Amino acid sequence: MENGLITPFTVHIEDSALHDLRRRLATTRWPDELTGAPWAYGADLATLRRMTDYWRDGYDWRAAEAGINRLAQFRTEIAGSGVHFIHERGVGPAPMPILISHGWPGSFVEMLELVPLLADPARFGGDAADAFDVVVPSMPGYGFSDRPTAPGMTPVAMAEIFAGLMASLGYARYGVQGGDWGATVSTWLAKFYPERLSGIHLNWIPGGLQPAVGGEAPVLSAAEGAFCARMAWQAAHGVSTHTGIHGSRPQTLGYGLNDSPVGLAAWLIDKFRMLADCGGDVESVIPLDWLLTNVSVYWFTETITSAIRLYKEAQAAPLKFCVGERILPPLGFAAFPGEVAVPPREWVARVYDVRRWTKMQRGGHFAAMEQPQILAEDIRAFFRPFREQPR
Amino acid sequence: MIEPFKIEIADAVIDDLKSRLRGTRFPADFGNDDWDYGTNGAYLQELVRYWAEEYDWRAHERAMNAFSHFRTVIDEIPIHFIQARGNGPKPMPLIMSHGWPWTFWDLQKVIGPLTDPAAFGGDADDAFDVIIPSLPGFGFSTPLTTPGVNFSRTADIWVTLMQRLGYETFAAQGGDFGAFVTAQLGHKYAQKTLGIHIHLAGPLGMISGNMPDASMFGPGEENWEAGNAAFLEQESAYSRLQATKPQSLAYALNDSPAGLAAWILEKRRRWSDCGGEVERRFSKDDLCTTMTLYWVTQSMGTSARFYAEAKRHPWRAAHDRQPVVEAPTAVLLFDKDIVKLPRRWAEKYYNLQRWNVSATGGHFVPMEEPGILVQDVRTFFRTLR
Repeated sequence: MENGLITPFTVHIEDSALHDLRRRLATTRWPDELTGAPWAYGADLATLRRMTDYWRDGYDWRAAEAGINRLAQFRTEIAGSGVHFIHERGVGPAPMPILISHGWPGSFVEMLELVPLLADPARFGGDAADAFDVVVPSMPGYGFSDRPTAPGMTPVAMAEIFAGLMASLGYARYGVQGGDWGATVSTWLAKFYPERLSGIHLNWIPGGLQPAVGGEAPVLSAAEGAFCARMAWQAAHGVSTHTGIHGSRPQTLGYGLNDSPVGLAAWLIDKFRMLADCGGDVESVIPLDWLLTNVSVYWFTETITSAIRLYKEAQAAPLKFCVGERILPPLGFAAFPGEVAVPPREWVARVYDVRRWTKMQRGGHFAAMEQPQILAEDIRAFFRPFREQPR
Repeated sequence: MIEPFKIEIADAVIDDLKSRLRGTRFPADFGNDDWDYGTNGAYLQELVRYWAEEYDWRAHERAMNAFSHFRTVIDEIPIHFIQARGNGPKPMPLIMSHGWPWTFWDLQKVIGPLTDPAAFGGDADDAFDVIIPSLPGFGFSTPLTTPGVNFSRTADIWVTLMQRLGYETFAAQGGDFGAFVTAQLGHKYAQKTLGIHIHLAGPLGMISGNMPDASMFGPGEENWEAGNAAFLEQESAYSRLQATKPQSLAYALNDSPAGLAAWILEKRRRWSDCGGEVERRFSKDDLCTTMTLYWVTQSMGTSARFYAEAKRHPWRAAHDRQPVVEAPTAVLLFDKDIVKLPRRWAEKYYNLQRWNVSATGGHFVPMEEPGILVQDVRTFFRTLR
């Protein structure tokens, strides 16, 4: 594919891959489990069996595929890397372009419900004046984007690729939105191209954010001190252990996850359950079909290893800021109550120009899947003042 | 009740293993010649090919069955062990505890020299009755479905096992997690334990975060602290994972033999004194035998859980006397091992009678440096007979 050439793309997985998946699911060798300890040592056996039995016998990938393909998708090549993306034109008088970046263990699949809400608000009881031209790329190494073939695909490199994507689509000025790794990529975009961004909306403050502290920087507030202490304790006690293994020896883990669909499902669904605002019942907030569509995309595209290598690559590009170094575009932040770590506003304001800080009523780390409606409303409200007036 | 046991893996299990290996979906790997991202893809593919096409499990199974194996159940926990009788005037009973990701078969090279020294150029007076159990949840000590079986509990089980075998007092030896089992024997059961020999030293509460003060490192140990810190920083994510969510990992590693191999292989290469060439310390057959043992016994999940049990059920002192480990103790450290604690600390913590540091060898001592281990074990326990 030539640089800049944009070609329509339709997801189509071969029958042979579907058969192979079913065969592997049918021949799974299950581990045993301790008696009476569901989820205590990680993904629960009975739940996993039920979910993956359904994956094999009830779940309809072709229906999921058709759902994905209802959104307009394309592929193009940016800086030598093939990028897959959704591009839904807004329905309204003056749609504003917006780039939405996903993270791990999600994929572009996270955004399937959010995209129509943003592109065509009037259809869902909103105001057509709030319409967006929505661009949702698969991050390099994820979904139907190319997997990197050399080290160095950091969030910084991804930000450059996404900036190139928006430029090739003819968008000189746009908003960005993201959670998880997508929040990191969005932040780098805002850092490098403040003149292109009308605003940055996040539903997660990057865990690796290191604002300036000490010296000439403002004194830590009590809330900031408590937040830093909590983060240090979590780091020392290995609370989010997947980041440790992803960040050090991801390839070692990748072999098993790329060869065993049940192993992959366990690894991903455990994180969805841990990070969603679900009280331990992930299916109460994210339908099983959606969870399995996300797992299926990782399985069929064989991207789990390239995806988790991002944690190691990202270490080469820490989000570290000096005194006075700022992210210039205005920030809107949707603080979901089930999110694992929401820093105090003053901590975020050390780096970002915080214009809006919404305490959301419900929802966790996967806001676009868990609470697409209220996330869409917050995105619309935040960007409303920054829209260019219709000509 | 102790029953003789023979290792006889069904053909169907071996055929299924080969078929899975041949059908492996390998992820791409790149920029990883130094294994910095984890297990190198090209090496793993070659090993998986060898495992499926050339490796002869039956030959190794026969070698294992040349020893006397038994199974028994202690506190509802299945325990497999080798018992090899000594050939000498008065063999001393010695229970040897392996580690992770090891199996009982990592002790294969020392059984002969320790039970029958005269046949290996030694003195028959140095003979031992050697008992090599599989740790609970490892190898043929499966399935383990009881929660809470940590290394302290394992030491209790070992005492019962030795009693059943008629050994009221005995010597103990171990490395990795086996060193903790062994040290716990020397702590809680000092009256029964004639002496302990370990090649990994560490406070029994180490996995709960108790480490000796930096000021304890003395002459010749200048680089150790930095080495320990580097291991914790770069190589210990597996341990934090296994200590928290071993079950989330178990699904993939119990279903994908290549995934299992990658998980074990990285540690075998990183932790041994192999200079980055794993086959300098382990032949392909050695590696495939270890992996086959984990695969056919479906024990990766429960073996990884041993970390979680150590973390969730922190070590509790059986008494507050000093030294913590009252049994006479020999520590034999290896320069390339992953964690090395200072002698000055060991002198306080153990009833330390012997201290040696080997310039060669890494973490997998009985496979890497069986000769050095055998010599040190004989010399130390000679003083306690």
